[in-house]
Amino acid sequence: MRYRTSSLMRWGAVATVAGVALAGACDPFKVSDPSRYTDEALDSALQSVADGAEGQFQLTVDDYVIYTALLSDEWQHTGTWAGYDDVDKGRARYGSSPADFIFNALMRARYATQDAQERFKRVGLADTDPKVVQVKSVEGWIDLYLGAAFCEATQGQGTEAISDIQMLQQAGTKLKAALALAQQAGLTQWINADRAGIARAALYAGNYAEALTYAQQVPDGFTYWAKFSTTSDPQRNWVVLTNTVGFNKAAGMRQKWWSQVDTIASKLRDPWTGQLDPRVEIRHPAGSLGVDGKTPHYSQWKYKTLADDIPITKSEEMRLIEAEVAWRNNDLVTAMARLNALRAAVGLNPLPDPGLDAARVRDYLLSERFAVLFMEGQRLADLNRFNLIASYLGAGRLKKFPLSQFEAQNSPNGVIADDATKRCAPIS
Amino acid sequence: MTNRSRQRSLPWLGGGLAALAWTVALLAGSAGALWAQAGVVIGKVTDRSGQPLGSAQVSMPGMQRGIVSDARGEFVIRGLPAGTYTLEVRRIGYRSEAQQVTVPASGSVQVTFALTVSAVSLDEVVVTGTGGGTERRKLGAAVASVEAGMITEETPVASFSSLLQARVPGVRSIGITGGAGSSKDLRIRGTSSMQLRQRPVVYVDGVRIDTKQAQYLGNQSMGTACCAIDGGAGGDRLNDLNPEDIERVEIIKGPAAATLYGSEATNGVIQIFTKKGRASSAPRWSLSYAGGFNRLRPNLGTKLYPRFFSVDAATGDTIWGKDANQAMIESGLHQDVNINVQGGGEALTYFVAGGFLFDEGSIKPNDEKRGNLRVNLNWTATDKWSFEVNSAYTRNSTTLLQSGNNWTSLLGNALLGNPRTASKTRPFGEPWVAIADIKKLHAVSAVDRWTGGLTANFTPLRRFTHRLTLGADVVNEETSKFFPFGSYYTYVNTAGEKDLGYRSFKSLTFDYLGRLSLDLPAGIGSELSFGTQGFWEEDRRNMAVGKGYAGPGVTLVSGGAQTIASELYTKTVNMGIFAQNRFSVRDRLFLTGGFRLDGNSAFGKNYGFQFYPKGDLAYVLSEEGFLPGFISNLKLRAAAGMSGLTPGAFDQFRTFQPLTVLDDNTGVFPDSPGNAELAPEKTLGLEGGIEAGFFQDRLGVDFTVYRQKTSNALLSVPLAASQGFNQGQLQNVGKMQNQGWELALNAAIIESGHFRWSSTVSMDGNRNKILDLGPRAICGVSKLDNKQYCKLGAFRTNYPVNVLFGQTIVGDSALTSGPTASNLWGRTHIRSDTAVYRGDPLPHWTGSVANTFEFGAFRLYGLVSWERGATFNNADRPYAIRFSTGDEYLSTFDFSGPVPVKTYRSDSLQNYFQLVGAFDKRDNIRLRELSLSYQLPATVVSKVGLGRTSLTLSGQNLMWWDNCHCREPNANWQGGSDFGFTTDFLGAPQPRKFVATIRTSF
Repeated sequence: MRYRTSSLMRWGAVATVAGVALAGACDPFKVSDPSRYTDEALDSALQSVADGAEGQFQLTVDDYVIYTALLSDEWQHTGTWAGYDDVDKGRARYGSSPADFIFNALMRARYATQDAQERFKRVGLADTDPKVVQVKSVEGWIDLYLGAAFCEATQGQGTEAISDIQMLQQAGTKLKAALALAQQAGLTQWINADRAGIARAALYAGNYAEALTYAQQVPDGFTYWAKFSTTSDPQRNWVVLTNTVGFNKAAGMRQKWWSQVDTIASKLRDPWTGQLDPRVEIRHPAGSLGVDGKTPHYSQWKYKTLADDIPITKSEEMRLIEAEVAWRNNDLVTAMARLNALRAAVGLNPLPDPGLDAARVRDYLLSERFAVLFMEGQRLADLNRFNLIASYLGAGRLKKFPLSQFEAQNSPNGVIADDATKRCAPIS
Repeated sequence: MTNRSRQRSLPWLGGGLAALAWTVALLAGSAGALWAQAGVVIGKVTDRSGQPLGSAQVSMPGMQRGIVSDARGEFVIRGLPAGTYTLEVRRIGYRSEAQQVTVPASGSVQVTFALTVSAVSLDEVVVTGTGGGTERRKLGAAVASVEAGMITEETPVASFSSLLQARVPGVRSIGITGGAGSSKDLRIRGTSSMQLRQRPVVYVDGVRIDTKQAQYLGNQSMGTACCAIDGGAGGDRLNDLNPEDIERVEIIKGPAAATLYGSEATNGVIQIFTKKGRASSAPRWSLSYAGGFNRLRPNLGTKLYPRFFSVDAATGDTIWGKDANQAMIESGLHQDVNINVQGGGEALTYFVAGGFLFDEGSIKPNDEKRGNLRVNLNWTATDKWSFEVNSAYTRNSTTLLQSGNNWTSLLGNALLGNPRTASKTRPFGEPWVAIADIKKLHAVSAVDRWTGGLTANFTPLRRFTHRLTLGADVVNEETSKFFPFGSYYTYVNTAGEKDLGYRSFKSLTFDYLGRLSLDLPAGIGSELSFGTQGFWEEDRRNMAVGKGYAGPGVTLVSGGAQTIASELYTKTVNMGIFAQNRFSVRDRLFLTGGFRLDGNSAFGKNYGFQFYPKGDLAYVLSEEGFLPGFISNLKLRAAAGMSGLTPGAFDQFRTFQPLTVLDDNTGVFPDSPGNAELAPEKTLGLEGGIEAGFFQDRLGVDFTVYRQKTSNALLSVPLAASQGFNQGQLQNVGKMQNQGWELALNAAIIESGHFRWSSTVSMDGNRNKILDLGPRAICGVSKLDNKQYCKLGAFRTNYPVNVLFGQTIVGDSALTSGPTASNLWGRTHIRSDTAVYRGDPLPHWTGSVANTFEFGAFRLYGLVSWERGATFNNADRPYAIRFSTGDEYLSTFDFSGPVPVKTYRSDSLQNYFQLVGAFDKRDNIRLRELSLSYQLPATVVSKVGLGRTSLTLSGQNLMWWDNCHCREPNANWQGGSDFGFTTDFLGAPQPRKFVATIRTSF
C-alpha cells in the first residue's frame, strides 16, 4: 500500500512539473481568429481590399432600388413590414427611417474605399494602379447615390453633413479625379463608368452642359453592373427575394400601372403606341395577392432570379441624358431622335410626332426614362427633378430620405449642419 | 423516430447496461475483499414514526468513508478496525444527527437513527464556491440546493430545465418556445450584462460543460433558405442531461458567492452532482417508466376561421377556413424509461444508469429522442487516497419544430393564413409555404456527447486535504434541414435545398483544491482553501449548403447544382488561482476572506490579469441561547464579492471580414475595430440575509437581499457609419445594477400519523437598471429635429437592459363613413413622433407555491407559479392584422349577412397596427404541476421480487391565466437566445403534458 501511494504521489509531482513547464514554454492565453483578416494581413491581399470596397457598394444597390421604388411611383407596399408601409406612404422620421440602413451601408462602403486608398498609399501603389482607380471611382459613385436619394449626408468621415446638391457636386469632383487616373492607366471600363457618373451627377445637380459633354463620351453597349449571385446571402438580389412572384411578395407595382399591364405577355403596354414594351416586364398570375392577403400583386419581372444583376449605369441612360439636355435646350428634334433610337433598339415604333410641343416631349422623356431605367433606382430622382412628387403621389410626402439618425448621433464631433434647409421635413 | 427504431434501441440499451453493470459489480466485489476481515456497522435511518428514509448521507468525519442509505433506510459500513467512531447522518428535510458507535475487532454493531423533520438545513454540506465541502451554517452568501433525486421521485421530470423550474428563488428556468427539444431560458437574478451571455456556468461533477442554448449554425453569408436551420425553436445542450442521473444541484447566484469561479461567474454557477454507488451493497436495480402525451391548449387565435371561405380559383370549389386548434393540434407521445443499478464493495462503488426518452411535440413533425448512459465509480484506495471516475454518454436527436420567425413555421403559416384566400393546395390560406409542404421538410439535430472526469482526493493528514479534478466535455452535433425537390418553399422555390451543419465543441477542465484546517487558541478555527482552476474550450462549426437539385431522390449536399461551405471557430483559455481563509469563532461566528486572480485569452493583449476579492460573515445567533423559544435556529449572514464576465473569444481583435462579391470574387471589408484594452466586466455583489427555523424547525425561512453593481460593463459603442466598421467598438464603459430579494419558506405544516402536509413558497423580486452608458453612448436631444434619442436604442440610463420603447398612437382622425380614395374606412391614427416607454422585459416579481400532501401510501403534489411585471413586443398581433387575418381582426367583421364583410373597425384596427407595434404584459399565473402518487404495498410487490414501487399520475403546465392577447405569455421568438426575451413572433406555446409513471426497484 505504501508503495502504491508514493508511486501515485511521484507521478502526480511529475505531471505537475510537466504541466508547469508546458505552460511556461508558451503563452497559454494567445489565440487568434482564423475567420477574420488582420490589418497587417491585408497588405498582401490588395485586390480583395479593392473588390471588398466595390462589392460592399454593389450589394447596397438592390436595397436602394427597393426603397427608392417604394418612395416613388414605381412600387407600393403589399406586405406586412411597417417599414415598407411607411415608405410607401411617404413617411419617415429621423431615427425611424427605414432607409437608414441603406445610408449606413453606403457610408461604410465609402469608408472602405477611403481606407483602401490609405492602405494602397502606405504600401506604395502607384496612383494609376487599377486598384486605386477602382476604389476612387467607387467612392465617387457612392456620393452620387447619396446625393440622389438623401436630403443630406456626411461629407467625410464623421464630418459635417452637406446638402444633396453639394453631395452631387462632390461626387462629380471625385469621379473626375478618378477619370483622370483611369485615362492615364487606360482602363476603359472605369473611364466609361466615371464619365457616366459625372454625367448623371451633373444632370441631377442641374449642370446640363457638363452632363451632355460626359454622356456623349460613353459609347453604346456600355453597362456598369451591380453583380448578384446565389452563392452567399448578401449577394442575392433582394429585389427578387422579397418582392417578386415566386418569392416573397412584400411590394409590387403601384396601382396606377395595373391597367397598362398585359398579364398574358407579362409586359407593360407602351402608353403611346399600345405596343408591349420589353423593357418593363411585369407579372401578374391570375388572382395573385401580396402577402397582406388583400392587395393584388403585380410583380416586377425585370429581375427573375436571385442572381440577376442590376445596372448601375448604362449607355442607354447616356442617350437619355443627351435627349433631356436637348429638350432643355429646346432642341426637340434631337431629343426625339435620341428617344426613338432607344425605342427602335427594342423593337418599339417611334413616338407620335410632338410637333413643337415641348411639354409633350417632356412627357415622352419621362415615360422613356421610366421604361429604360425601370427598377434601376432612378425614378425617385426623376420625380424630384421634375417636381412631380406631389402631383403623382399626393402632397405631404417625403421627397428624399433623411440623414441616418445613427450617423448623426455617432459622429464624434456633433457634426450635423445647422442649416435646416438641407434637411428633409420629418413626416410621421 | 419510427416504432421499429425505438424497439431496437431499448434492448440494446438494457443489454449493454446489464453487461456493464455486472462487470463493475464484480470489480467492486473483489475490491471490497480488501477489508473483509474488519468490523461492520449495520445501520438504519427512519423518521420519528419509523418510516424508512432512503438517500440519507451517512458519513464518518475525518475518514474517507461515506455511504447513502437505500430505499429501506438501511446501510452497511464494513472494514472498520476496532474502535469508537462518530457517525453523522444528514438528509434534506430532517435534522442532522450524530452517534458514536464502538466497532468490535470482528463482527458487527447495529445503530439506528430516527430523524426529526426540519424545514431548516443549516447542517447541509455544500461544496460549490465554498472552497471545499462546508456546512451551510458557515456560509455568508446564499447557496441554493435542489434535491433532484427527491423531485424525480415526486413528479416526472423530462429535462434539466424542468428540474429547476419555479423551485429556486432568483433562478428563472422556463420554457420559452414550445416543441420537444426546444431551448429554455435559464438565468439567475435577472439580466447581468448588456452584451454578453446570460447563462450561468454549469459543472457536472466538477467538469465544466457546454450550455449552448441556440442552434443557429447558419452563417449569414451562407445563403441558406431561411432563418438558420434550427426551425426557430432553438436547441439546448442542457437538454442532453438526464434528470434521473442527478442526485443534487447546487446553485450559487451572484458574485458574492461565486468569486472563486472568477471571470466566468457573474451569471452564477450551477454544479450538478450525479448519483453515486452504495458501499457494501448488493446490486440494487431501479427501473422507471413514464408514458403519456403532450397536447397544446386549444387557445390559438383561429377560432373564427371556419366562418370564412374562399373559392378555389382553379376548381371553383368552396374552401372553408380551418381552425388550427382542430386541424393542427395533435397528441404527442411521451415515453421515458430509465434503469440503473447501484452497489459496491467497501472500497469500490458503482452507479450505472441508462435512460431513453421519446418526447413528441403536439405540433408535428417534432420529437426528441434521447439516450443516456452513465457510469460513476468511486474507489477508496487507501485511507489517504480516493478516486472518482464519472463518464456519461448521450445521444440526443431532435426532429426540429418549425416555428418562430421562420418562413416554414408550421403554426406561423396556419395562424397567419387567411381563410378568405385558401385554396386546395393551401387550405389554411398559408402566406408563405403550404403546411403540407412544410411537413415534408426533414430537419433534424443529432448530438453525440461524452462528458467525463477523474477526481483524486488525497488526505495526507486529517486536516490537510487535496482534490484534483480533470475532465472533458466533447460535443459533436449535426444539424440538417432538407427541402425536397418539387415542393414550393419561399426563397428555395421548387428546386430543393440541403443545409447541413456540424458543430464540434471540446472543453477541458482542470481544478485543484487544497484545504488546511487548524484549531487556533481561544476557540478560533481556521480553514484555508487554495487552488487553481482553468479550462480550455474550442468551438468549431462547419456548414455546407447544396442548392438546385435536378430532380427527386438525391438528399446530399453534393447533389445540388451549387454547393457552398463555411467554417467558424472560437477558442478560449482561462486560468486562475484562488485562496480563501475561513475563521470560525466558537463555531458560531464565521469570517471568510479570499480572492481569485484570473487570466483569460479573451482579454485584450494590453490587459493583464484580473483580481477578484471576496469576504463574508455568518453568525449563528441561535447558538447564543438568548433567543425566544419559538426560534429554533437563526443565522445572520452578509457577503461581498466580485466576479467577472469575459468578452467574446475574439472581440479584442481589429478585423476585416471576408465576403464574396462581384460575382463570387473574394472581397474584404472592415468588420470590427477591436480593442486591445478589452477587460472583463466586473460585478461587485453585496448581499445579506437570514436563515431561520421556527417552532422546532417546522417552519424554515431563508431570506436574502442583494445588490449587484457591474462596472466595466461592455458596450458595443457604435462608430458613425461614415467611419466604417460594421460593428461598434466593444468598450468597458458601462455600469449597471441588479437589486432584489429572495424568499424561501419551507413548512412542515402537519405531521400526524399517516398524514403529512408540507409546503414550500418561493419568491423573488428583481430590478435591473443601467446606471451609465459611457461618454459616447448617451441619450440626448438630436440636432436633427430637437427630439430625444438614445444612441443605443434599448440601452437607456435608468432603465433595464433591453427596455421596451416604441412609438404609440396619440390621436386619430374623425370616423369616416365610407371608403376613401385609398380604400380606407374608419379612423386614421396619428403616431407619436418618438418612441416612448412601453415596459420592462423581465418580471419584477415571480413566485411559486408547492404543496405536498401524504396520506398513507398516497401523495398529492401541486405547484403553482406566477410572474408579474414583464412586457413584451407581441409581434403576432400586428402581423396577423396586417395580413388581414387572425381572430382579433376577423372579429371586427359584420357577420349578419351570408358572407362576413369587413367594417370600419377592421380598417381602423389595421391602420392602427400599421403604425405601431403591440406591447402586452407577460403577467401570468400557471398551474405547473399536479401529481398523485400511490406506493404499492410492500407485501404485494415483494411477492414478485420487487422493492419499493410507486405509481404516479401527473399533469404539467395544465392551465394558465394571463392577459397577454397571445397564446403563451412566456413565448420568445428566438428560442433561448440571451436577449430574445423582448419579443414573441410565431413561437409555439408550451404544451400540456400528461404522464403516468411507475417506479420500482429490485
